[in-house]
Amino acid sequence: MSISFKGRVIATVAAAAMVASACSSAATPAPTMAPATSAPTIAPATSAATTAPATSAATTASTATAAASASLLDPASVPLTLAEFNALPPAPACTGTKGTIGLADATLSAPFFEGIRQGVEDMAARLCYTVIFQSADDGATQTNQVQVMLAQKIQALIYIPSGADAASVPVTDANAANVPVIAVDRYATTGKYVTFIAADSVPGAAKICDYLAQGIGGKGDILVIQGQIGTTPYLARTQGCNQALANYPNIHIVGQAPANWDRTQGYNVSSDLLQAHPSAVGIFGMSDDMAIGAAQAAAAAGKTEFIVGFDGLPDALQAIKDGKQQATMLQPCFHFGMLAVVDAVLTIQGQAAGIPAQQLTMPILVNQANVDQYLNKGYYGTLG
Amino acid sequence: MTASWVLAAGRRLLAVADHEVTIPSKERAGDGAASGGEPASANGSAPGTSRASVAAVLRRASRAGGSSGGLAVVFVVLCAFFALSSPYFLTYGNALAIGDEIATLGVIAAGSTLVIISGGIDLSVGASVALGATVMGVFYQYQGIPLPIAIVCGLLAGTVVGLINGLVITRGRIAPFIATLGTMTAARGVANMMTNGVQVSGYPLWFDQLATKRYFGLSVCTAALILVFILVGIYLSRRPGGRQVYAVGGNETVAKLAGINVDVVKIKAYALTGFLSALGGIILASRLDSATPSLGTGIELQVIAAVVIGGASLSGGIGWMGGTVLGVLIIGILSNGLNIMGVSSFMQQVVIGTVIVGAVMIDSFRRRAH
Repeated sequence: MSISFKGRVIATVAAAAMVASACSSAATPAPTMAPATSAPTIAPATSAATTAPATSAATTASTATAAASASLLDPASVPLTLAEFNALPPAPACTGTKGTIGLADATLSAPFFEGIRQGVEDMAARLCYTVIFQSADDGATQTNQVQVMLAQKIQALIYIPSGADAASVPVTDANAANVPVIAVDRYATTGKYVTFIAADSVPGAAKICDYLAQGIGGKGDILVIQGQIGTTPYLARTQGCNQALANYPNIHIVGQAPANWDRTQGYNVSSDLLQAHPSAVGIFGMSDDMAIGAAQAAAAAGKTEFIVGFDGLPDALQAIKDGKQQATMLQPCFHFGMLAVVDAVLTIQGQAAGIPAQQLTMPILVNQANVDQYLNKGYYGTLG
Repeated sequence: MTASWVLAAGRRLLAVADHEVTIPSKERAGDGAASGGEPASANGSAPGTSRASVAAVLRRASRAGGSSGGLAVVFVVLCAFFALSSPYFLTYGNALAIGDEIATLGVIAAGSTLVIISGGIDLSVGASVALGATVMGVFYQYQGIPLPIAIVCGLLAGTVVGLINGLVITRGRIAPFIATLGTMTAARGVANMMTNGVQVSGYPLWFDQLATKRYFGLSVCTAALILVFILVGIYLSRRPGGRQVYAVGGNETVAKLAGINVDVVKIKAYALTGFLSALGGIILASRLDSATPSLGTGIELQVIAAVVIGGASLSGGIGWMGGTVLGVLIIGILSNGLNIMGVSSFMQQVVIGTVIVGAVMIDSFRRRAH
């Protein structure tokens, strides 16, 4: 006997709903994608200039003053924070615009990319350049956006790829149009770039995992909340963390699961893992959004965990101050944006020769002891 | 049985309405003994026949709801499977964790049950989740409005989206799928515009504690979930308004002839769903201590899956709240159990999809067997 019509309809629609929900959860727009370096094949040792921003505010303030008298276009003296930027002496008034720079950013619901945007727009305004700005959740949309920007005759492109794989089409299009490309946070494997600006995720992850290991006394069980599997930040931070944990044979990763850089998924996954592994005493969230989700889940479950993240989101710094999270690695994204604009302007003015191929910044370890030096200082622009 | 009966009854009554055929008097008398929930009718409805048939439709529909035994079996089997696979599954702490995880989904599914039983569909629930949370966040953080009032504003925003859905579908006569697709896109756009795409976070401790502090084992958010299921369930099964929803979904023409204001019933269902979606968004914001315009992306399909697993028919007229509760629980324990077992997330997607289809097929076979 055949299935009744109604039964068939129900089953078909349910199957369609199932497939669609599986597809939609598989192709999550990854709204809070964490930033990081791209393929770990970049060996930090080969970068010509590695900025170490772990200087005190006083030193950088005096550097900024020096910049006032020197040219504004000195990459070495680009301010680190919004506070320092505002402390620069007033710039000469702009008489019209000197040129146009395109910014193809990843999704703004990840504060890191919003911080980059603010850095780009603030510095461009100071240097009298117009910015054409677009942001996207996925590579396909970004490709369209870049093509439109090129049609609008931008003179340089600052490109922060979104999507799990950096799309190289925008880069090859820009190359073909003789528009120089500055990549921030990650880059596609084909295409020519003037420079690549990012944080050094592998040693950064090694440092934070080492801190976690020390924090739980060198032994015990930990959980890892992973980013989107296969993405370059995931690969880099996995590599770095494993390097660090190799020195602690008594520490075991008893549970790990991906949460796709999303805070909601981070919460749900942590909640389940905490139930499955009541012996866990530490959690490494590969991005702060997921780490905050893990912290909330631990609080709801009534458990105290040693939680570390990565990125230095203002929310995370506040959580560290409140004691809900223990540490993170701060990436100065506002600084990245400003540096990208300075490099773009130098290139437009024909002075690209001195710009190194890679500019990797070692992120800063922030914990409760030093969080006041970094919270609300403008490392993420107006976000905190 | 019920399905084909409803279809046949509907066809016959449509024929009556078109003056093609008259209902034999025997059937009229037999169905005349209406159950206690006569839909309110006042103005010149076709006497006896349509009202009596509506009553019969309602009796059948509510009986059909009670036969979700197949679902209960699936639920028990899944629980047993996970309990055997891990000693941590069947614990008090894990039950609380599951309650936390399904709170948003459950609250929205309660409202969507009404929409689906009424014969419609609502794809905009995810966007209302984001809009409700974002309005609350923006009003509190950027406008300085006290948080309780900002929460009410968020709930209102979701209700407005639901009202727009209802009006566009009833007055504009646009298919629910398309109408809610449009509001889904527009509402999320509004949420993005309000924050420029950025997260809004930093809420007072008491707001956080709505999700983390437990009173007698339940957090405020989980208690809200249980309350919503009870209240909406009672409305659906015992109140005249709820029975009208079944009538509208079973056969709209019959319902109209019986004097039910179909438009109002539908608008109320969508508005309630919008309100509950915004409530789900606020629950989520409390859990995560942040409101993002990207909240709730993709939850609309999970909600539909939960309601359909629960036995509601996408063509309307059949379903009950208990079934939706089971559907939400099945989805909740699936992902929780698979995470506890350490199954890879890709494999989880395959398993969840298979269980969804399997649960619906088991239930469909069982009902057909009656």
